[in-house]
Amino acid sequence: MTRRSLPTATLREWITRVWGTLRARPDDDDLEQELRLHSDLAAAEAGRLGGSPEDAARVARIQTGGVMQAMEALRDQRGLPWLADLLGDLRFGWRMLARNPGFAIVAVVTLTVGIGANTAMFTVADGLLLRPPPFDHAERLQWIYDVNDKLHLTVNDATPPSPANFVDWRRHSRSFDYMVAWRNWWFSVAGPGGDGLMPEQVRGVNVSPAFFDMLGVHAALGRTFRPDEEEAGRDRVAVLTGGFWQRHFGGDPNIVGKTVSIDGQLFSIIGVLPSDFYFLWPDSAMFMPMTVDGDFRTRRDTHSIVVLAHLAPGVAPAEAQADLGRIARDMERAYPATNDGWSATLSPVFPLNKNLRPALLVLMGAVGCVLLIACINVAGLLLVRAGVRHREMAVRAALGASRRRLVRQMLAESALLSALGGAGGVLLAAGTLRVLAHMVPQVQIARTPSMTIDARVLLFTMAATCLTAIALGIAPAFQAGRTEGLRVAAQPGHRTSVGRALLTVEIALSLMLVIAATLLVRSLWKLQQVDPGFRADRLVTMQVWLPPGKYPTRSSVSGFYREVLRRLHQFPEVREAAVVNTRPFLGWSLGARLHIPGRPSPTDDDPIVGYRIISPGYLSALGTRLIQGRTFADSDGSGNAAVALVNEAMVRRFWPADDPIGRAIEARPLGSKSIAPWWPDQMTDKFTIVGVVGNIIENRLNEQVEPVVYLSYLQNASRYAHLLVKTDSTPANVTGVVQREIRAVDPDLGIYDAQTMEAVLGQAVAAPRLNSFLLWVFATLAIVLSAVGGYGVMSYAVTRRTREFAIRIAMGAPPGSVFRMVTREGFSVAIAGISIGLAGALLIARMLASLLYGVVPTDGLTLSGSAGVVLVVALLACWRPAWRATRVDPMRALRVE
Amino acid sequence: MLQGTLDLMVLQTLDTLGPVHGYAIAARLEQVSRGSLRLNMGTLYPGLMRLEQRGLVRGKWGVTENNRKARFYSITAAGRRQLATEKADWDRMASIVYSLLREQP
Repeated sequence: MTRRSLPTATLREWITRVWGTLRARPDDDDLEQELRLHSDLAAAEAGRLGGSPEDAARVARIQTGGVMQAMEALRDQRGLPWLADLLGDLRFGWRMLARNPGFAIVAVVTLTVGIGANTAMFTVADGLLLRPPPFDHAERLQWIYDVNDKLHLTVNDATPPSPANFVDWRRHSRSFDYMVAWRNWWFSVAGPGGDGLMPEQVRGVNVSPAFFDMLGVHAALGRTFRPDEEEAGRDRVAVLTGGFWQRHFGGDPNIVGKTVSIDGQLFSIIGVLPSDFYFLWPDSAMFMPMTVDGDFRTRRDTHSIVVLAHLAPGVAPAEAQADLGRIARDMERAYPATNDGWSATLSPVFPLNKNLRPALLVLMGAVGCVLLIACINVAGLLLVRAGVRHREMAVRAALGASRRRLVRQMLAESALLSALGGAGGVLLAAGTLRVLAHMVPQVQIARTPSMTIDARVLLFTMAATCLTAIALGIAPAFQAGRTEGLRVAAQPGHRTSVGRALLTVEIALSLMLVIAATLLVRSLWKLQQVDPGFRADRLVTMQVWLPPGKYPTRSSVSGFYREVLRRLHQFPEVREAAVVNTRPFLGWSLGARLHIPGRPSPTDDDPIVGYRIISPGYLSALGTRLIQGRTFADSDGSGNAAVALVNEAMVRRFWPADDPIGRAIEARPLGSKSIAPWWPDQMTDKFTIVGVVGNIIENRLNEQVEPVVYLSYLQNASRYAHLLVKTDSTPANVTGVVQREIRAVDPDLGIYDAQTMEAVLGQAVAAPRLNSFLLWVFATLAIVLSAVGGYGVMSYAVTRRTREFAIRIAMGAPPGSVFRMVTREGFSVAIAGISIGLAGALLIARMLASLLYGVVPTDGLTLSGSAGVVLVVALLACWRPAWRATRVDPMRALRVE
Repeated sequence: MLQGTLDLMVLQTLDTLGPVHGYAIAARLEQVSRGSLRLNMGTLYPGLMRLEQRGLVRGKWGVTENNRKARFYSITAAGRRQLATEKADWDRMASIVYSLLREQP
């Protein structure tokens, strides 16, 4: 017969039984009374059928079974036997820990540190690498980059596609359900008219209308874009981010439908995004449609837009790649002049921060080692205790405890320790994360990870805690499981050899961590020693953008910057003020094709060089040397000959043996005026070299400096520019001065991204600094834990051999020889651990190499120095136990035995 | 004996007799089966406890005719519903098995 029971009834039964287990006072008397009545009635019934009362009772017992057996069955049904056993084990374990609080505190603190460090590190790694972004099928999002075999441009160059090609891909590809283009720029926002809001310069993003549908993001207020809003004439609409809506418009609930002026054009606000929306840039203020007009459709040679695509359901990236390749080949045939060699390639958007992966893997590995060392320490302590409790186990086994029951008892104790450590670890991690969150480098594309302990992190911590419990419990449980009857072995000798083996592993792991940490610190130090070719101290920088509507001509742009610089130079605290189109460490810069008349290029195309437009004070503001010739002067204006400076790298590449001064060059910036707002307006593209300047590192501290050409800001205008001010005053003060003077020249203009160059350089080493800091913390934890563990194991060994030492001393052994005996043992363990650790360090060398700069992972000085430090710490750890061994009083020690 | 069968028999007994103590249930089952079903206490009382934990029966302390304290069990509304489904299941299964066994080849 099928047994159908209502799920609610089953649930009810279980709840009652859990309650029955936990209830303090069992109702055994009631149960027994009920059973007694039953057996009495059965006996009476049997008696009625005849026979002696004894016979009747016997018959009744045969029929109804014994009261005691029934009681046992009832007790099992009343509660949950396994739960009751578990609670009993935990209660007993708690009493054992409470009886020895010193041991319990050391063990719990050790585990707290191990689990806490892992929880904190996992939270960071989870936020940076693992956590999926809150978008519709984010895993299907792909960047599309242009690649060109003939120009050796690969996916790593992240070359942006051109607008016309994007339009064709979007029309012809069948592998994507969305394909959008975007481009971000700065805009001056004013209005809505008449309510006195100050104009503000903000980052805005032009996107294809399908952008928000692709991400599955809906407006919190109003709506997002409609497909037809990328057409010219319908494109004057804007969607605000929640943050900008609050900050600039005071969270006006009736904002939708109002009109604002963006760079002098009127836009109507159609929606506000949810406040937690974050994609592409942390400081995006608004989104506007990417207009697809006649010009957009025909631009094939200007690689100036970023393209994102969303794979259609069930389409593999390889299929989509083949699809794009087919379209690209068609386009090569159709437009040979512009598309020769060009194709497109996919690159998944998520997971983010691939560049952080090696560092995070090393750090996760390191923190895992710390937990392993913590486990080894506590397991060592438990083993020592298992030795002490050997007699207890033997007695319990003799009294009938099954082997499984003893193992479970030991596991319950280690589970209790781990649970306490896990709880402490979560608290420790929560505290650590507050500090750590400020040190994590800025990440772009999707929201800054919140770095808080959430359900995912807790799940991780629980898993780590369970693994810890098992790791801790295995050895003592095994020990307990081997207990047989009353065969109490005197003192099993292998336990110290297990302790020594564990200690060897600890030392090896600690050494590996110390080596890795030292390598990272040395590499960071080397990185900070790199001379960037300029002096960042007391240098303040900020970005300015002049809207083309208000600054239509070259002379209007040059005039604005000349006037601002003239005003700034009048302030005594301004030592130097200068302007440049893209400052060092901006993250991107402009390039130009260089043509040297009379010199054919070895390849078909002219080489690409860096392209900077500067004012005369730029070199002195940065403290960069003029090596040869002259620098710019205010006389290098539109009425005079077009001049250029070049850097040393350029001279080395193009005129290694000749004098570059006086040579003619031609430079044409990449991009196009109609597409790129940073497009500089050149007086001419033919220049004469008048000077050579020192190299300036502009992107990464560990890079080769590229050739750069510098042009005069009065002959070439860039609406997009950075001011650099060298000052004797505070940065905040100078920023205020600059802001005021810019407003004095143009009341509509604001500045953006004001910071000191020292902070900019600091960001460049933020990631390596965090890595080396964390690794140092972990290495220190590892070595301290190992020292504590080593101390514990050696102390135990000395205690166990007290009688031996007593006899030796009684027989006349000098204290020095006893001391040497103990330290020699510690020394041999340390040497074994160090050998293994060195071998391990060589094994992980390749993984570390990608994080290092200017130091090889097999650096001899680092390896030997770290080994020395670990050896000294190991010897210090056995110093006191060895000293104690020499102080053994033979009379007392022998009497105790 | 199948556990479900015991549940069914106990519920049916309680539905027929009204509130009775454990021994009366056992006696009734023995009588109905003409002595072929003799319930062990270790089977009957845990079974009653399980039914009570599931909310299908309710036990109340009372006094027997001989003035002894005893727990009297009665069927609850949920127990009656469960009894109805189990009875229907049993009938269907029994008729299937019956016709299968009686079927001529």
